[in-house]
Amino acid sequence: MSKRIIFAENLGLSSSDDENIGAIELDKDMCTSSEIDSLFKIKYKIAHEMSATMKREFIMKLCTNTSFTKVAAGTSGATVYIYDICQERGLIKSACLPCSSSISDQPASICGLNFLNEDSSILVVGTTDGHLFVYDVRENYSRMSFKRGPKHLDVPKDYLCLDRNANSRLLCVGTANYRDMVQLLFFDLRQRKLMGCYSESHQGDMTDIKFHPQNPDILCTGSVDGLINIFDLHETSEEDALLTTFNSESCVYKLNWHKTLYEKDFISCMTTTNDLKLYNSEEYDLVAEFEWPKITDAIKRKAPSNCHLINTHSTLDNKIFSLVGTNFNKGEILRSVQLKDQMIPLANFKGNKQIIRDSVFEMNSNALITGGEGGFLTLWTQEDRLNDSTQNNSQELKHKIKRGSHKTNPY
Amino acid sequence: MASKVSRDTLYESVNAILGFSQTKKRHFLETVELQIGLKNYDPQKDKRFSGTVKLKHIPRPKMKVCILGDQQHCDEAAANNIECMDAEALKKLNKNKKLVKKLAKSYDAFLASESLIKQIPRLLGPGLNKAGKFPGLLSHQESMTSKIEEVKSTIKFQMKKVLCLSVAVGHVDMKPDELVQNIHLSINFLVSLLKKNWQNVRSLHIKTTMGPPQRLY
Repeated sequence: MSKRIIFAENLGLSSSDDENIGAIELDKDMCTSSEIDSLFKIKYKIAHEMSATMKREFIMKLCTNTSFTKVAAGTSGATVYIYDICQERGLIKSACLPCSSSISDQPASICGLNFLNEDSSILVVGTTDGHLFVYDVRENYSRMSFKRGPKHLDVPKDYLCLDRNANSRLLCVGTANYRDMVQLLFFDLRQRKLMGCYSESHQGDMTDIKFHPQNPDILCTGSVDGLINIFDLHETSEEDALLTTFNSESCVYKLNWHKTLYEKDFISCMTTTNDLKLYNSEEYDLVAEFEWPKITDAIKRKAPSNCHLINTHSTLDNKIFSLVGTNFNKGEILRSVQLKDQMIPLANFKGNKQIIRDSVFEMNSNALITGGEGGFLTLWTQEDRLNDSTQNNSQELKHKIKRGSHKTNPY
Repeated sequence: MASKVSRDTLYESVNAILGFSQTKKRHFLETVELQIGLKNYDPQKDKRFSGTVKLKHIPRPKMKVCILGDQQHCDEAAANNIECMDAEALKKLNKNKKLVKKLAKSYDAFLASESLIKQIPRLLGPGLNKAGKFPGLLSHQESMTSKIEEVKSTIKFQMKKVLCLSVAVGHVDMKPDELVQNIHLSINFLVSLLKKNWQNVRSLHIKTTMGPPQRLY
């Protein structure tokens, strides 16, 4: 932790008024481009890219269905764009769902969205001004609202994050701090009504909620107060449900569940100060932590002030990787690192055009979809490794997406 | 280290606010704050601007820290005149909400040994969480006194819906050098977190609790 002082003296801050000059002067790769190529062995290319919106909206949240045939993007303008993911033609726009309320005059954004697990024709969406909707793909995206709670229930309106559980029966919504109270609201997804809430375990705005991918009773929650709570909803009271609390000693930005080789559950936590922490959620231990300068180092860049964490994902062989990007020049650098005892360079993504806010990863095909501040929705696939005779990647690319018919397949 | 605020400006301003605080002495120790005004930042769309940063010199010297320790840590705490509680003492609270709340109010921060921190929800319930005082981790690898120093030196900052942020970086009894170092560190760290670094900063001021603001940038 004391490393922070040394770090703060050497952040590579751009003092130039011209963003581009500053960026070029101060931040660059730490090694040559051929060294970058040899370090980041996996190379991704853009298979297809769509500009989701003509307005200056950011794509804030992404979700896909289990078969990876649909992706939904929620924007800062409270709109959801749905795309089909097609083997031949990439991303095809299938629907545009405006979710802003005509009554409220304050700008709202999408705070979270999920396809239901068993039935991926249902999409649940939440907005920051306190609205929840369920859309049915089969019924031409007909919209159903959630039932209003009893008027005497002083339910705060700022919804900041949400997630649904493994059997898609429950939705949990995290709120902002309202009258000194932060709530985790639980909704029954079938009846679309509020069932209860937890209000004792966090003190700052909620920033992320993630249910366990298999166990429908377990969830982890993160907040600006820096705490990560794990709950077991099988228990009746909040006090009993709270299994453990981790203190990230900063503010939580994103949480993700991972399963490692020995079927152990891990939680990765990205803080708002760009540190990454890994916790063993069964033994309640901090397993690893990587600080901002180390992460910048791992993607071979010089300036931490131009580097930020995007997301973490699990691969088919139970490994964990982190997506890391830069800010200047429209987020031109996008790389990933694998998490082991140290961070090991993994993949390089060329052609990125925006600061990425969310990503979804398909572990069978290793395809990645990203969305961000440029309003672009990008589908990335691994480049075939033509000359790599030592290639031991036994996973077949199930979704070989071709960009245009004129591009020939090397094989 | 390129910066838009020169050392001279920093020293001038720090001396100015310290000078002013001398002219009208207060009955409490005035805090020195750094105020940042942002621009080109949309609190609705842009990433949340919040976190913690460790300063070089302790900004709040009167901070009371309590150790929730295993045998080894409690012995060490007792030897160093630091207040502590062990698992038995925590069990005695019997998860009573009022007692846990009282405990939370008695100290500014807590540190807990690895073995004990895992038991906190079982022993105390969510009371410390709600009070915003959940303990930080105290391992056996680092010295207790240095971890306590670290806790006392760490400040939290959080941007709400408005475009300005205020952070406590010191107090009026600190030497100008110490204040300058703390302010310099804070500015660097906070600006580095911003997407466009200096292009997101509209203004910087420092001020004492009761004094007028001094513009730095």
